[in-house]
Amino acid sequence: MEISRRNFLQLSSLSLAGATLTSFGFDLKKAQAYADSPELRIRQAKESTTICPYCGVGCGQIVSVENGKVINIEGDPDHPINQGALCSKGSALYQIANNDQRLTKVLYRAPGGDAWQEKDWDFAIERIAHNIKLTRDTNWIENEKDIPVNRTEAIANLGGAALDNEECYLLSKAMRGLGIVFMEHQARI
Amino acid sequence: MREKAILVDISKCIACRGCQVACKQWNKLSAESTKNRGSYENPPALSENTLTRIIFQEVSDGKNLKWFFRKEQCMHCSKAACLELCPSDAIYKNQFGSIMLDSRKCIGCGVCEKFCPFHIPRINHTTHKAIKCSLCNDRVANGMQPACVKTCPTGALKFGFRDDILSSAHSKMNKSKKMYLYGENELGGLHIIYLLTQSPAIFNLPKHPTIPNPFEAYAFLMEKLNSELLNQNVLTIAALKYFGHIHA
Amino acid sequence: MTNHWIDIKNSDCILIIGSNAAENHPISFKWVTKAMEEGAKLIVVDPRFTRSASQADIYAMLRSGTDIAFIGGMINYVLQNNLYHKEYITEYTNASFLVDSNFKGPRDLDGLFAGYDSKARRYDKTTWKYQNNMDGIPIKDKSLKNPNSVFQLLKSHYSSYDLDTVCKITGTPKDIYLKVCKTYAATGKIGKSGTILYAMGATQHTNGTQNIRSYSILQLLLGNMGIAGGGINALRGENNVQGSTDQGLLFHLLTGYLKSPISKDVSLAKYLERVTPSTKDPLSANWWSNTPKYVVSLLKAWYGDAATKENDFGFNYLPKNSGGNYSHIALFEAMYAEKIKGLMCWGQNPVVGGPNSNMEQKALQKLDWLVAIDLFETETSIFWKAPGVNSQSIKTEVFLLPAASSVEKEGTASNSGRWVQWRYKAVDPPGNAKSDAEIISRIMLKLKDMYSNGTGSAAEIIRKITWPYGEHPDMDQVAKEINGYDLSTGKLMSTFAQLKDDGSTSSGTWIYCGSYTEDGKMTARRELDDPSGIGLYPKWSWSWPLNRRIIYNRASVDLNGKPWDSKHAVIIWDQSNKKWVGDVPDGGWPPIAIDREKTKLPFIMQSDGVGHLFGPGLTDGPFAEFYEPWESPVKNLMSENQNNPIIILWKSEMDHQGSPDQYPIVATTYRVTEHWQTGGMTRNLTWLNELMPEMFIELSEELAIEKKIRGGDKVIIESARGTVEGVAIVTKRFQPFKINEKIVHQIGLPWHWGFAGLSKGHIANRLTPHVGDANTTIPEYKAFLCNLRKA
Repeated sequence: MEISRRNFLQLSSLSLAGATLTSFGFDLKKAQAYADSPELRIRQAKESTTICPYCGVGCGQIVSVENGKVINIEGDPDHPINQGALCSKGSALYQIANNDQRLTKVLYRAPGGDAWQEKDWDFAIERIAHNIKLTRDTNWIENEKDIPVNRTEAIANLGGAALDNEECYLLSKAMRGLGIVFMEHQARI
Repeated sequence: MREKAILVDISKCIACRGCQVACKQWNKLSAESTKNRGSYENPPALSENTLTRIIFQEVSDGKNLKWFFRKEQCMHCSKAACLELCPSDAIYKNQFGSIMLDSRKCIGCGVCEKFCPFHIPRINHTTHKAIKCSLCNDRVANGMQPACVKTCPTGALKFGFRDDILSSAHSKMNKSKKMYLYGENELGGLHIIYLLTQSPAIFNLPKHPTIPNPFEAYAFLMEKLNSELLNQNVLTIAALKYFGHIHA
Repeated sequence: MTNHWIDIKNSDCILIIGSNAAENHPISFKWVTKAMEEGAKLIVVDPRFTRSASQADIYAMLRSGTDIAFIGGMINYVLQNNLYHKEYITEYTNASFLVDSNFKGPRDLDGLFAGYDSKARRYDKTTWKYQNNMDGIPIKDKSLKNPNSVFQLLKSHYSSYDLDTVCKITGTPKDIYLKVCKTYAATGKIGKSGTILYAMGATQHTNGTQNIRSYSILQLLLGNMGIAGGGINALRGENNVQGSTDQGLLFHLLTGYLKSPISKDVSLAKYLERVTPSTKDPLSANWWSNTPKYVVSLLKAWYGDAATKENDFGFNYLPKNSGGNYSHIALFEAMYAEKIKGLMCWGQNPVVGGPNSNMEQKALQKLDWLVAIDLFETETSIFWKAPGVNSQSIKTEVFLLPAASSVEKEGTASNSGRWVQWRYKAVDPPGNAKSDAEIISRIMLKLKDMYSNGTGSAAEIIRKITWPYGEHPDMDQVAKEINGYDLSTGKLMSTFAQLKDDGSTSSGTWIYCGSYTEDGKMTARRELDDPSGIGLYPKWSWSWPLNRRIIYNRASVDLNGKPWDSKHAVIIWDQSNKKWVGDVPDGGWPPIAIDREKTKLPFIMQSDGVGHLFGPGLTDGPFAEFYEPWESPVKNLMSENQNNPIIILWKSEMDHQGSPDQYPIVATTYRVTEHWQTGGMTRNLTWLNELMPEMFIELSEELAIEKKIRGGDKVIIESARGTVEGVAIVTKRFQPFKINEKIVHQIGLPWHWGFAGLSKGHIANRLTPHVGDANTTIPEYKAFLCNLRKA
């Protein structure tokens, strides 16, 4: 859901139950009082709320977007935990959304290769599924002492703490569906 | 217009440095390339890309160790050396009492950088203009808090009317005898008010900051004139200004 | 967290031990500061003086890995000085329960508990149990005087953790230690609260679980569980590490902490018999007795119509592990031994984050294939071009898939306080990047297609798992599946109390049942009402379980349902309306003194209904006993048993234990505010690299003089497993320890750096060992031996 500033202001003023302070402590009437006031650079931006992806505090953030680009991220003043505050990492989130180092293409390294090759998604999905199937079929344990166990110990899965709950759930379901038991993530380490 | 100020309560700062990054984020400032110099503190000084930073200090009396974190930025002095001495009138005070820099007028002479008693303004060596904290004038004018204050988690930074800020500082001083106030009267009153847990000298804050002698600024400009392409007019305006004919 | 972030403000005393909240959870200090403004005391216990310590009323240094001695001494102080909350422990804990008279403890058995099998390195727990009456209900002595009572056993166990012994072990100055004891024990007074904030500094030890047990014992004795400003609060380091655990991404757990099936579970019934705890005590709610409802509802969510009563609801489609250890260390040992051929790695980076990372990097080289999904290139995804590696000799096929960041997709994350919060999408991912959900779904759809005509169980179980999500999964649809449905009406469930074990309900993760109901998406709520006045914010997002904000809150009231602390009431019994008011109570039963028939004991997740001072559930003892870390410079002063006697010892040719004569210095690893975990999401951000540009090593001025090192010099640290270089920070914040008259130096280093990203540096985990906690196998990152020299 993307929400316009107007919607957002309505949303947050509702949540403050009639208080006049709004998303940024931004008060249009007051702003107009200063005839020479400089234009706020996020005035025209669309805003949406999010939760900081770093530590487990779960601070609220407001993302300002213009022309499909993130132009500002700062703390959500309505959020009861952080009340607009953010640490150095949370304050730097803008640089995750705008970063030359981000991966934008599927990369593939052939056995013995010394460099990445750029590939498309169809290649990657096809090839990954092929590998899973081959490893799984070759290393399938159907029964142990005549009891069905339906597992493979030749494939491992790591990660999840950086994913959303819904993604973790899909991952949990998918990996069990594949019979994977070596399944771990950051909580263990 | 009631003036606005920031209260910096050193006792509450945890040096998360959200303020350092929030300043860069809002003001679109680039990162600096730094080194670890045997400390957590970085960058080593303010610069054209760093308008505020936290200074880290370990102080021990042999038994008790203290680790202090002091935020450094433009103090927005009521009697500001930069404003008084700027030969091109690029520096002015806005409706909140914040010291502003008009980069269209700035000639990059370096007087403000050289003669600020707190050594705050810096010359951007690409644009040849001075730069310093504006107390987020654009945000404040639009009813928002400065980026550094908004992001501060602990209340080490508070923004508000200067008189309110001072009275809350005084009431905290009354509760805790061991606090020191800095900025109430220095240079006619600063707009960054520090509540300190040790004497200002421990934090390298000048006991009696003053506006330097205009002769020194004049001599500095004369030297600049010889080495760089400063307009002779600038020197004339500076002379008039420094020696009382304009500012009287 | 049993409590939540804002609740810290309600505390009278905050004990930060095994965490560094100011640096790793800076916003927590909004609430720590609020509490201190109201007069709360802050105690910080840490081997080094941290940014948290800079704010503390009392800073106490302790040598890494000696928490059990430190807390043990506090427990002893509370017991010896009668500072415990008598009514609380008598009514709400097992203090009064009588234990089997054959049970023996470490003082009788030189550091061991009864039942130790030295060959198998495990305990036979036959005597770790209560004495029951004829009805199978534990026998109690509410005078707490019976020598077999838990209380007396506890007292005798901890009596040896006296001031002198404790300080000799921990290296804490005695006067400071006593101040800590006195200050924290003051929270045992009725109406006062103390909270413990811990994190990986507590858990990442061979005795990690017992460290937390020690905290629990202390908190129960002081009546600090269930109350506002109290609790045992694990500060989670990753944004959704709470949620990823809730969703079953550890080998031993399905979703909602249901236990993974193992090969001896021949049927659903046998499995449920093994994993469902029972009680004969009518006063115990024993909430886990509902396990069958949650398991069957999970099976219905996963297998849909293919899950029928006749086929045990598809129970046999689930993989069953052997019953062995498949945890992180075991996983990499298996990979190193070439048993694992393929690895999928979702936003995790073991080459930097894993223990003994030289070994873990080497293990990756043995894979046939690796799929890494991330925002940036990580060390794990480019292990084949690590410094010093000949990439041609590595036969692993590697895929690196570009993922979407948190602002480029939507869904929920669960914070440490169990708040499940919805995030909205702000922009599209860059280039061809896709959300993890989309990537998972595309792989599964392809596999379902490939197996559509196959025969045998491998094909059948893939066909049976429901996968209605398509290539672009709708997160609302998934969130609803997690919540669950009444399958007869098709309506969303509103509470797990209504889940059934007959196949008529579904719920992907039972503890999330209630998060997405017919009334809407609770996780997206933004209302700021706080009728409690203690910061519960019940209409802001949603908290599991059932929007309960403080767990075990029925222990926050006396036997009449009146809050111990009326100023910070979590719940209150409203006698006129016969119901609880305030937070969502841990069950609606009336208070004990109001209705002794209908009441239930407050610790509903324990089968006996009470808090465990005696904890027979752990593998290594019902009380916490101190053992030295696996690598330690000194002998254990408590017993001849130097290390936790049941830890698993791994023996590949890359697993080495260092000896103190060669490696005399204690080392620990940690994080800094400015970077995050293995650095992928921070070492590529120039603003953060500016603040913390380089790998560093912190040491005391005394050690620096001894080693002729100055601040800013490059130094080399060496352990039995590897070497690491970094810039020296010489600081008063590290002090040498005096351990039993011997000077012991400790150093510390962050583990954020690696050879990928914009800011590169050595990997601290080259030094750490493949040895884990006796209960969880979490690696012992926080206490190991090293030596150092100027580079």
